[in-house]
Order: sequence, then structure tokens, then C-alpha cells
Amino acid sequence: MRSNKTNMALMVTFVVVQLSTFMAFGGVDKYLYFSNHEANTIERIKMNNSTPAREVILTGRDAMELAADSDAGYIFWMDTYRVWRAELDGANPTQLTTCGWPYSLAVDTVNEELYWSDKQSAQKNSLLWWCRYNCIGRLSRYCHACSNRQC
Amino acid sequence: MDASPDTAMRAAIDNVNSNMYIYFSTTSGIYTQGIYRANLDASNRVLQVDGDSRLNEMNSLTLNPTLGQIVYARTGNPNNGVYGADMTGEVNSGYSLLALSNGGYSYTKGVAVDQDDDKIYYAYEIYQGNAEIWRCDSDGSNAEQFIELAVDDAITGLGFVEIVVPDAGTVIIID
Repeated sequence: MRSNKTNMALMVTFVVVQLSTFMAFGGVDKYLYFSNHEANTIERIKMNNSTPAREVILTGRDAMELAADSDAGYIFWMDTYRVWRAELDGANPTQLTTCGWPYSLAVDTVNEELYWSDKQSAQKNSLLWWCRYNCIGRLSRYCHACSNRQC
Repeated sequence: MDASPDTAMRAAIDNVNSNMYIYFSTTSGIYTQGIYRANLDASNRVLQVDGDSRLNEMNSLTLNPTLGQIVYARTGNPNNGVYGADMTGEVNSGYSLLALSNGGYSYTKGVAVDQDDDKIYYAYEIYQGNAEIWRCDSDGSNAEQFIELAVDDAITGLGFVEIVVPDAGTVIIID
């Protein structure tokens, strides 16, 4: 025979499960982010409305490439010689590392890693690099020629 | 200086399928110009898209893993616009023009995908004209202007974000 304490625990568990089953969400806000090289801004357009609403979230940013991770809540961008991260509303811009001339930026949202290609000043061609989202100042070269991610 | 053997211009990550891959384009170096796929640990490089001799004009690369589609934007006349190819994992030369940017003197500058709504967003600026963002379906149909920006705007990168918004007043319990 179950004790009152056990019965109470089961009841609490049942209530929590029921609540989580009926957990409701207000919906999904969709945004299109873009870097504006001419205005030196990073902007986003809220897409839920019939008329897209444009919002400047960062100024003074000469961004050349941009990528985003909804789950982690970050946008990333590259300007000339630097890789940056900020929250989705533009708060807390943080320089992650340095780079050469930026070409491309991609995010691995599962492993929370950032990949980018750039042309270092001493090299003729662009190379691929990667680092963790929180790996400030540290990076590794992704070398597909020698099948090594720690080149 | 000699060309580095592992040059890569544009890159995108497949975050959806069970085997995660990085896709990247090369336009020089010792390998055939094309779009390659490799594991995230840099092993198993496969030439995925071959035959586009103007990949040096690629400006942006992204993926729609749900549809198994590679999407890229190419600038330069005459065929600047949005292109698509398959994420088959096999060597193939297939790529196709999905949507042309408006007019000969425009520059496609970015591409992003809304996988839920099956839409491709692409930005371009018209020479001495306004910048614009357009969208089309994944097969290039139903192309329409999404928003017109100003002459002084120049888009260099696009990114698509979805943020789940809780209902006001709803208590969320995670058990």
C-alpha cells in the first residue's frame, strides 16, 4: 500500500506532466537579418506582419558577412579583419577573433561552432577556419586537403 | 606564392540530417572548381557540384537540408541570380538557375532559406539604383519583391531566424 507521501508525489508528477503536455506557445516570430555595408548597420526585418518592419539593431558595423543561430540566440558577422557575435537584438556585441578579408560565414548550430573563410594578407587564396561560439580569440584551420580540422 | 591546396570561398553547414556536413566552394587550387561536401572533421571530401565555370562569381551559399537543396547566389553578367543543386552526396554536374536578378546591371549579394515556408530570400542591388530583397519558392517559381531598400543600402549578407514566442501569461514547465 502506498503512503500518502508517495501518492502526493505521484499526483504532483501527474500534474506537471499534464501541464507540460498542454504547454502553449504564442507562435514563431520570423526575422530576416541583413548586413548593410553602405550604411554600416546590421538590421532585421520582422516578417510576421503583412508589411515587413525594418529595424536597425547595430550601427557602426562594417559587416561583410552575416549568419545566425536562433536556438543559441546569436548573430555572427565579419568585418574586415574581425569576427563578431551579438545577441539577436544586437545586445552585447563581442569580438571573437581576427580574420583576413572575409568571404563566408556558416554556423553549426548543433555543435555551436562557427566556420568562416577568409583571405589572409600573405596568401593568394582563401582558407577555411573554425572555432567554438565561446572560443574567444582561439581558432583552428579546417584543412580539407589533409583531412584535418586542427591543421 | 603557390595556391594553397585547400582553398575555400563560400561555406554552409547541414545541421539537419543525421550526418552533418560542411559544403564549400573552391575556385582555385589543385582541386576541380566546384562545390564540395566533407565531414565536419574534414574527412571524406566529395565533389558535389561540378560544371559551373562561373563559381568565382558566387556571392553566397546556403542549404535547405529539408529539401536536400544547395542554394547559391551568383553575381556578374549576364546570369546573375539564384542557383540550385542537389545535396545528393554523389558527384554530379547538376545545377540550375532558379531566379534571375532584375536586370543585367544588378548584383546578387546574399541568399537565405525559410525551410518551413519553402521560400528562398535573395538580395541584390541594381547598378546606381536601389537595393532590394526578393523571395521565390524553392523551385524558383512565384518570385516577388519582398522589400525595397534605398539607393544608399548595400546588402552583404542575409540570415534567417525563427524565435519561438511564449503566450503571454502561459506558465511553461519543463519536466
